Parts: sequence; structure tokens; C-alpha cells
Amino acid sequence: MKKMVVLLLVLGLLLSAVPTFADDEKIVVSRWAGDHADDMKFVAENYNAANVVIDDIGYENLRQKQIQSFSTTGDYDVIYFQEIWAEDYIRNGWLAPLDEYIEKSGLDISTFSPSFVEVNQADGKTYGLPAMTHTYIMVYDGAQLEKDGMSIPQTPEEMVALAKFYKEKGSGISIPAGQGQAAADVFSTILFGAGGDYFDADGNLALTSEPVLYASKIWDDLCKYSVDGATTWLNEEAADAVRTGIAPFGITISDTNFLDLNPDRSRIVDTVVYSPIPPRNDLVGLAGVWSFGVAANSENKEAAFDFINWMIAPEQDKAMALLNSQTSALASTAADPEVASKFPFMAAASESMLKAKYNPLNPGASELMPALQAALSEIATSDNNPVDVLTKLQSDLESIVTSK
Amino acid sequence: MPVVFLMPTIVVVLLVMIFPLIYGIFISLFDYHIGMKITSDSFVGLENYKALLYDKVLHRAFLNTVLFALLANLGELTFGTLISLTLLKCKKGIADFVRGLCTMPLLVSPIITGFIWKYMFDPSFGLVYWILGFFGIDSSEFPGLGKPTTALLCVAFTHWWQITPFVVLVVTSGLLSIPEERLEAANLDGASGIELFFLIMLPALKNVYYVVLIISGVDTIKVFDLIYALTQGGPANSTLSLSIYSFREAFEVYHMGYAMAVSVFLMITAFIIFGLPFIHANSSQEE
Repeated sequence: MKKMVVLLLVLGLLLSAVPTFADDEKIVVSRWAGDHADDMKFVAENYNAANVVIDDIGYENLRQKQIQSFSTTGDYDVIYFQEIWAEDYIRNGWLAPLDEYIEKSGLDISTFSPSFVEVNQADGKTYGLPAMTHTYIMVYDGAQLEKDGMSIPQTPEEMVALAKFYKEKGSGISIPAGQGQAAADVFSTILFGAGGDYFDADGNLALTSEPVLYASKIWDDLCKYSVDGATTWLNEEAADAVRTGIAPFGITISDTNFLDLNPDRSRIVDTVVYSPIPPRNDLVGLAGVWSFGVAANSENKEAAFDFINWMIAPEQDKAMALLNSQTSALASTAADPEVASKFPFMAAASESMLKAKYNPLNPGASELMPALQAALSEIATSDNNPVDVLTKLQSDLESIVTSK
Repeated sequence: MPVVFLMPTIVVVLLVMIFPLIYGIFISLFDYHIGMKITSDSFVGLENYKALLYDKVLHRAFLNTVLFALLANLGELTFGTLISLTLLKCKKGIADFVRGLCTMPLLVSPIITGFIWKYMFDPSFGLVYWILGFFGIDSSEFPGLGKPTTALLCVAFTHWWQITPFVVLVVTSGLLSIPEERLEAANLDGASGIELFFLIMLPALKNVYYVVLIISGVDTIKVFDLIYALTQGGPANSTLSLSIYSFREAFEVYHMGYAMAVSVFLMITAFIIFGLPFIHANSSQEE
């Protein structure tokens, strides 16, 4: 019996000597679940300054769960959020300003593209630090283009001409023209590249402005010369069509391009070529960005920031890029020779986002996107004149949608 | 004393059904967004319901929903009955095998069914156009999910594929419950097959059809997953259902109060179209 007591005491002493993190060193990260979350967990295992718990849940429930935590439960310290939620999170005071921590840590935020930083700023304060980005780029079967004597288009008109050429040969361009956000994103990219926007300088809806009508004509032509079925496709099908050889080229979201390089999924591994979507004027791509922020109701704000600062550092950022093909917000990661040779699409994606813009982010514009999606679908699937469709949309929405 | 035994059920019903329903109706009276605190400032009374009257997208969604419910139920009852009658004429072994095979679509969830048929209907990837190709039909002649004119029909077809087996099972059991003597008597009296069906079988199947209409009818009026996977409401809102519209308003536009008003409207629609006839049929039977 005595031996047993002594053994238990020794065991207790040994266990107490094992280093454990104090309760206040536990950092809970809220993000969506999937391969990217698993890779983040793998990288975060090397973080020694705190016990990091990554609470990953389905994307469809993420925003609701984060807001619930902001409003009541306070479960999270680090918030992984996308740009379309930023304005709401900042306006409601759910994110803590990071300026004090940035200054204290000596972090140089000028290493990020300004558009990725500005989207998380309000009233001169920074509320989030960018990590992962995505945009829309062109993907080509270079061998097919070469065989047909075609070259990579430099303007939207050349892109339409190339689509027409291949449509007449029985295929066409692959685009995500099904009713949904992907179609609206491609349209925004064409619009931003034409120097336009959805609102005029006074913040009024401007769907009948010249650049919007120009973009709608390009959209109409692309749909007309798209592969059969593309008017029901979302991002995945559009990307699949190019990599399986159904279409010789297409417009794809950069999140899907890593599969072009997988021999089990792609027939264009050795011939794939990427470029930005050709602009009418300057190259201004549409960006999506996921950023890290600190919950305003976190009790471990400093520790939370320290983890973010570690996670977005070039070493971890490169590790995430190599593991998950994430298009980094750090230009240095995309330009890294190892990353660039493993994922050649990153160069085109980074180039597209050098001067990036976003879909309207303010609450006054929240009704625009669903209505635009339906209008773009109407243009894609009917003979209706795109100018008439957008003029009607302008008259339906101008009294309710504003950039203010 | 009986109330005590009923308490667990009453509590569950109150918590799971009555409370969310009242809360939903309550939220529909506010200009409410997720995360917002409900205050008197955000109280808008019946404004969300008034807005339903002027919302053109909602009107389109309502029309689509009712049309889909009609198409879906008419089709599944017609095909289900025809298949049941055909199987009754077949040899027992073959009929049992086909019935077993028929139940397979029932085991697939609607969202998976939607994804499967989305690919089946795809002119570039899908099986449907490969088969139609043998008859010289391509996507320009039958655009399938790609055009507003045919998209809702394709959605209804997918619903038939999944739900008709259920109707086959229920109608078959209804047909088998008809006394053999009655059918034999009608045969001896020289009744034709059509007379046999309309005068003997159909009246006997009345209650079966009520059950199917209630179960499937309510399912079709609140359809979400099947359409979401197939078309997301497109093209050009031609398959947008009230449930998808409510979801969009809640989680894409973040108008939770308005989304709740749409949901309440959907509930009332389902009650008027399928609930009231059911209550009426029940009370007539009791009388």
C-alpha cells in the first residue's frame, strides 16, 4: 500500500513537471473547416508561445457562429474572416484595433499589397491582417492554342474573339456563368478592368454607366461563345472543363488552379498557361481576402495578436502556400522561387491583385449582388439585350441600393 | 395525472416547434440583422409583410414554388400509379425485384440527388444529352437546366425520379388492399381495364392519395435542397423557390426580419394549399 502511495506521489510530481500552458495562454481561432484548416493546424503545431485551438466549422455556419461569439459567448480570440464581413464586424465594434500591437511588435504592414490592408481599416485604425487571397485568372491549354496558331488575348475583345474561334470549332470558353456569385465576380473583374464601378462618385448606383454596359456586352458575348452547359456552371465545373480538355481555355478562380497540376485530375499538367483576365484599361482585378483579426471581447488580445503575427510571418506563410497552394497576401511568398515553380498560377493571381478592388462591401449595397446575379443569368440564357436588362435593374434598385 | 405523463412531449413540442415558430414571427416584426440587439427602434410592425406585396422577386418565387409543387405532385402520382399498375400485371418475382430496385432513389438525400442530376443534365459532362444525342437532340433543342423555359421542368423531373418510388410502394399497398372478389365481380360483369381503374381502384386509392399529397405536397412547397444543388434558383430566377429566397434574404442579404416574413408567408401558403384540404378531408371522414 505504501509503495502504491509513493508511486502515485512520484507520478503526480512527474506530471506536474510536464510543461503546460496556463489557462490565459489558450488561444481559440475561429475559421472554416477543410483542407486549409487542417494545414493551418499542422503549421500551428509549431507555435510554442500558447496553446492554440483551431475551432473549424462549416463555412455556411461560420459567420453566424462568429457573430454569436461576439455578441454573447466570447468563445474566440482570433477571428479568420473574409473581406465581405469586415465592414460589418468593424462597424459593430466586434474586432479590436491592432495598431498598438502592430507598433509594439514592429510588424511592417507595408509588405502587404495596400488593397489587402485597406479593406480591414476604418477611421485610421487597422482591424485585420491579410493572410489568404483569391482572384479570377485565365487558364489555357497552351499546347492547344499553339497548335491552332492562337495567342493569349490582351484585351477583352481578343478574349471574345478567341472564345468565338473555339465555339466555331465545337467548344468555346469555359466560364462560371450559372446564377451565383462566381458570375458576378467575373463580371466585376471585367468591369474593374474597364475602369468602371457599380457606383458613381456621389455614391449613386450607376448600372447604366458606359463601363458597366461595356462589361455587360463582353459578358453577353462570352456566354454566347461559351462551352455548352457553362450557363449552369459555378467555379468547380468551369475549372474542371479546362483541366479535362472540354474547353481549351477559361476563366477560373485561383483557389481551384492547384488541381490543374494534379495528373490524376488534369490533362493539361504539362501544357497549362496562366494569365490575368485581360483588361480594357489598367489591370485591376477583383480580390477576395481572408484576414486574421482579434475579437474585441477576447481576454487574451495580446497573445492572440502574437499568434497572428507569427502565422502571417514569411516562414509560416510560405509553409501554408506550399502545403495548400494558398495565394498569399505577401507578394514575397508568391514570388518565392520554390512556391512559384510548384504553383505557377500564383504569378498571374498576384499580378491581377497588384491593384485589386472588391465587390461593394457596405450594407446599403447588400441587395445589389443577388439582383445582379439574376440579371447576369438572364443575359447569359436569353436573347434579351444586356443594356435593357441592366437599365431595368438600375430602375428596380436605384432607390434602395447605395454605396453610403 | 395524464397531463404529467404528457409533459415530456408537451415540453419537447413547445421547445422544438412552438417556441421557434413564435420567435420567427416575432423577428419578422423587426428590421433585424444577425448579431443585432432587438430594440424598440428596430420594431417595424407589419412593414416586412407589406413589403412582400411589392417584391417582384418574391412573386416570381411564389409562382415557381406553386408551379413546382403542382408539377411534382401530379407527375409523381401519375407515374407512381402507372408503374404500380404495370407491376401488378408482372410476374411476382420480377415485380418484387423492380420494386426493390425502385426504392433506391429514396435512400439518397435530396441534396445528393440534386448534385447527381446537375451532372446528368450537363450538356458537356452529362448522360442525359449523351442519350438524347441518339435521337438527334442537343442542348439547342432541349436546353435543360440552361434556360428558364425548361429548367423548372428538369427540376420536377429530378423530383419524380426520387419520389415516384415512394408513391409506387404506397399505391401498390393500396391496390393490394382492394378485395379480390370485388375485382373479380367487375371482371365477370365485363368491365374494361379503364373502367376497372376509374370505378373500382381509384375510389379505393383516395385515402392513399391524400396521404401522399400531404407528405409530398408539403415537401414540395418548402423545397430547398434539391433546387439549391441543381440550379441555386437560376437561370434568371426561373427555379427560385420561396425557401431559397428566404435563405438568401437571411444569409446573403442579411435581412433576417424580412426573411422570417417570407418564411411565415411560405408556411401560410403550405397550410392553405395542403393543410386545409387535409383538415377538411379528415373532418368529412369523421362525420
